[in-house]
Amino acid sequence: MKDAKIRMLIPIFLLTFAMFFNIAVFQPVFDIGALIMAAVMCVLIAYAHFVVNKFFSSGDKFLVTFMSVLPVIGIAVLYRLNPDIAIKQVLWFIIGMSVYIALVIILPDLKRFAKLKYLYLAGTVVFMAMATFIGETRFGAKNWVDLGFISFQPSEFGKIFFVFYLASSLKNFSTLKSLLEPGIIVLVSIGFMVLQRDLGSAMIFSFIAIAMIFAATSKVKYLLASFGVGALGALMSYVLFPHIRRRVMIWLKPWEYAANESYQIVQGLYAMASGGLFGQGLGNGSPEYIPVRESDYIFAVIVEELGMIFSFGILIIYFLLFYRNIRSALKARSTFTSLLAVGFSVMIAMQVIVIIGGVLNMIPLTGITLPLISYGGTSMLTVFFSLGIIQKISEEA
Amino acid sequence: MREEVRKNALNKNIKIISGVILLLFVGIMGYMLYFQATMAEEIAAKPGNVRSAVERNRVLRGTIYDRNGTVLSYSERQENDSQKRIYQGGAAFAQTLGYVTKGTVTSLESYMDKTLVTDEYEINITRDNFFEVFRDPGSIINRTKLGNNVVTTLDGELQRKAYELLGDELGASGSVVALNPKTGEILAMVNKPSYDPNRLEEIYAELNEKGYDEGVFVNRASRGTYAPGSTFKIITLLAALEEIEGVEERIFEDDGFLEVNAGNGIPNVNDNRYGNISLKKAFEVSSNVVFGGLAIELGGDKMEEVAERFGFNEGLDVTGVNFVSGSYTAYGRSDDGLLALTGIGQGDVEGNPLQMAMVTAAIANDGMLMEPRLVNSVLKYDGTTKDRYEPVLYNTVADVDTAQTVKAYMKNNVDASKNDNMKVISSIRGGGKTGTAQDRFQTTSGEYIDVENSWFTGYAPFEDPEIAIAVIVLDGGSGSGKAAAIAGELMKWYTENR
Amino acid sequence: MDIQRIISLAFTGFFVIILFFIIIRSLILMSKDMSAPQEERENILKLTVLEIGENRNLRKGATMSISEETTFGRKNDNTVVLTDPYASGYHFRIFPHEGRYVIEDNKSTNGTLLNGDRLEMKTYLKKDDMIRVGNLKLKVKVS
Repeated sequence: MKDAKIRMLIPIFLLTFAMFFNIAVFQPVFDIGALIMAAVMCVLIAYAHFVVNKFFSSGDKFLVTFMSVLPVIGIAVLYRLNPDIAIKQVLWFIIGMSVYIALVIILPDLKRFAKLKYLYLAGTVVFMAMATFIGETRFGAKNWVDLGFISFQPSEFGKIFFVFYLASSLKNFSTLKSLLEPGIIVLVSIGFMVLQRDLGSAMIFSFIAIAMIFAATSKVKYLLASFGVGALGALMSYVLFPHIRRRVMIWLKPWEYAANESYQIVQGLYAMASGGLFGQGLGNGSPEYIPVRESDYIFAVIVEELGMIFSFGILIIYFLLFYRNIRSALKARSTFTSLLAVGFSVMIAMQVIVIIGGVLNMIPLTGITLPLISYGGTSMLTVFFSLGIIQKISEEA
Repeated sequence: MREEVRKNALNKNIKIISGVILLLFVGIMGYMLYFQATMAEEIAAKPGNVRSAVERNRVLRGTIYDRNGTVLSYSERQENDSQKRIYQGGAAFAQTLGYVTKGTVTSLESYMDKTLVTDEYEINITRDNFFEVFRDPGSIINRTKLGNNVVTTLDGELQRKAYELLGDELGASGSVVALNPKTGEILAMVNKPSYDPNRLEEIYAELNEKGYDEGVFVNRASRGTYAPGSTFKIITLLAALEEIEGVEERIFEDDGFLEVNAGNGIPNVNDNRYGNISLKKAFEVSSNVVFGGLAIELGGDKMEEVAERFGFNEGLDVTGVNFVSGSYTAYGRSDDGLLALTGIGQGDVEGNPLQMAMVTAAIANDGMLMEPRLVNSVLKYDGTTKDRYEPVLYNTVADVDTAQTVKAYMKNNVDASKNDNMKVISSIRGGGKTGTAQDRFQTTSGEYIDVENSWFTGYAPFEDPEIAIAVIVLDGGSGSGKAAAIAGELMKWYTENR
Repeated sequence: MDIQRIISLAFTGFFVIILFFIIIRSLILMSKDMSAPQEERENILKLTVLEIGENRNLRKGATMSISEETTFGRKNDNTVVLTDPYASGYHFRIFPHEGRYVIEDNKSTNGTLLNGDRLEMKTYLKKDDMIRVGNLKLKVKVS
């Protein structure tokens, strides 16, 4: 069994080196730096696989694979776009993987953490509100905090506290009254997101809350009620906020506003349409016309240069990642850990769905990152942290 | 164990949630497939998509030459890496060659677009750079970045001459098409009024305001829908010779007016009465009475069948040209009024100079209609030939004897004429047919005015035709006037200088 | 088609093949996992309840089958809930390790006895071992 999982390393190494080699070959001078990056990543991936398989073999053995493949693809494409950013992303990859490995090795049984509800509550409120008070606006959303040497998105850390909080407060769900406190926190969190104009995050928080509440309560009533509230909230925001109306307008009629408002969407569509099944080839497309191509819109670059088939494969990997995550939720021994796993699984999965759906213009575009692939240190950290927790939970079986 | 019950319920819910998310994933994957299968191509082709422009810009667009190697249109790299197309041919070649802008490519530029933007690549590995290959594998591939070139069939000087002979205003403007009857090569295809494509951006707005028949962008020589008038009698004549026994010896009674049962009847031009005349004479004087009557006698089906041999109604594909073939509508004898009109090239008959030149070319070439084409060959950036276009027989429109009879009748037209223009053609041993077509012209304001278009179609020389020509001068009046003058001068110049 | 495109296409094709290889390989391994968990089942620990002590929710003579980590204590979220006030909230646990079962005392107030001796550190269980918490007595039948 162990052998089989280590054998999975070979295709990962192959993919890594092949992608970086592809980029290196077409540079005017053969790019050794690319191969060095590939080697560094492979070493880290190998170490992670080794740790999980050898020392913590009761846990899920597939998570490491999926969470290695995706960043490899992401960093390779980022390297093609902007080598400096790619190097930064590798740094975040290293940090993220380290966090993951650390969690797996150091964390004891997670059940102990079930009692710290108020700690989580405090953390949630602090991080969700932080950007509103000391944050700055980027890309239209006021959800960044700049501390000079580092800048980060506090709502990303807020997500972690949010999931922990909901898991610990819902685990003993009995009556409707016990939903009051979590309900308030959920509304407050989403409220801050709306306040900060980070609609994408607001959506993700909503989905996480809905999933966790439904999982814990089993009451379809509450599910319908929360959908109702959500729909009402969406409608109200549509009426109240012009920038939301704009989003809906450019979603419905992207071609009419192609010159200005829907420029990003339209350029993304052009790029993806020009890719074909096998893409233009790494380095052959024209991503320079796509706004925000390194983070939110990186998927459009991937479709243009690597083709629909490859992108389809990426989607399958994301789904398999979700499957393994949710499997840990099913096998978890306690309600608390199960809910934790549900929360983080849904978080990652919905992020994928919302951003890819937005790039494809299936749904209105929101500014969230594609987990593990988009450039973004905070996002990477959050996802690796979540996966570390889930990996720990998967050992409970 | 309450814990267990809770766990089961929890698990059940988790499974439901997973199901929902699975559906969402499937939805996205489905949409991706849908996108690729249906929307992608259309979206990629939208003019806003810079990619095709970037790709096209990578290669310096090829040059268009006339048949003798004179440059007509070529491209120059600008400082900002874009390309500028220089139309050396100028206004004389505007509609035939077309133009290239950021979003649009027209006419020949469009027809041969792929050729003009495709470059060659060379792989060169020599002993010297062999080791270079490992350091930089990409270096062995040399893209020439120069598009292929197109050599047209056009005779540049002939084209310019034709352009000069036409005028700018209604009454002198029109189109000219000249073909090589033996090969189908288009020697000239000219329209006036025209415009200088080098100034396209400046004057586009103003030019675009002219609509309808006054516009300058349409290649009316190959796409116009005009009534051919009496030039169509060539076809009526051919049909009659084939179908009617002894028609050459028949004596026709021409009292100046053809009575019909359905309709108004047809007078001769100027109400001339010719009395008893032969077929040849009737053709020479262009008798509407005789030819209208012949059409009725032949019947619409026969007329249509013959017309279609020349390409009418057929939608023929002409290399390098967006050709609109002529059209003939067959009427039954109960519609003898309309039927008679078709016999004289009026009514519902439509043809443009290219179509009519094809008719004459076929006759001149002993009944063999060669497929017209605008392109002779494709050259690589270094001048070597990549592709050659050969003459292709489109159709045999008549047996040699009949064709030669028609050819002889056409020669007789110019030989027997007292008109100066016709005499010029006679002097170069040519033949032809005039046409004065009643037609309608739509001005930019949208109103229709009645015009008399001056048509002439002919060939020269009789023994071994080198050129077949069709000229239309809009509202130019009698065919033996302006159209014949232009045709004569061009054919004379061509046969003497080429 | 030119050389550069062909090379790019070859690379991309290679990426596609590897990616889908990873996907399919994973799927195969996952399905194998699902159809072969029986191995773990084979290794079941059976405990017999000799005395129930103050634990009214247990039956004397009953057999407990343990195949995965099992916690014993007074709190509700233990796998086996003990009602004996002598027991701590989380008293002790039994978990599988490397094919055998290990018993560990969770720093309980009154301690856990294994074969009469107070359990200080994690110990492998073997057949006929006797576990005692207060008046609860469990005997290992099969290990």
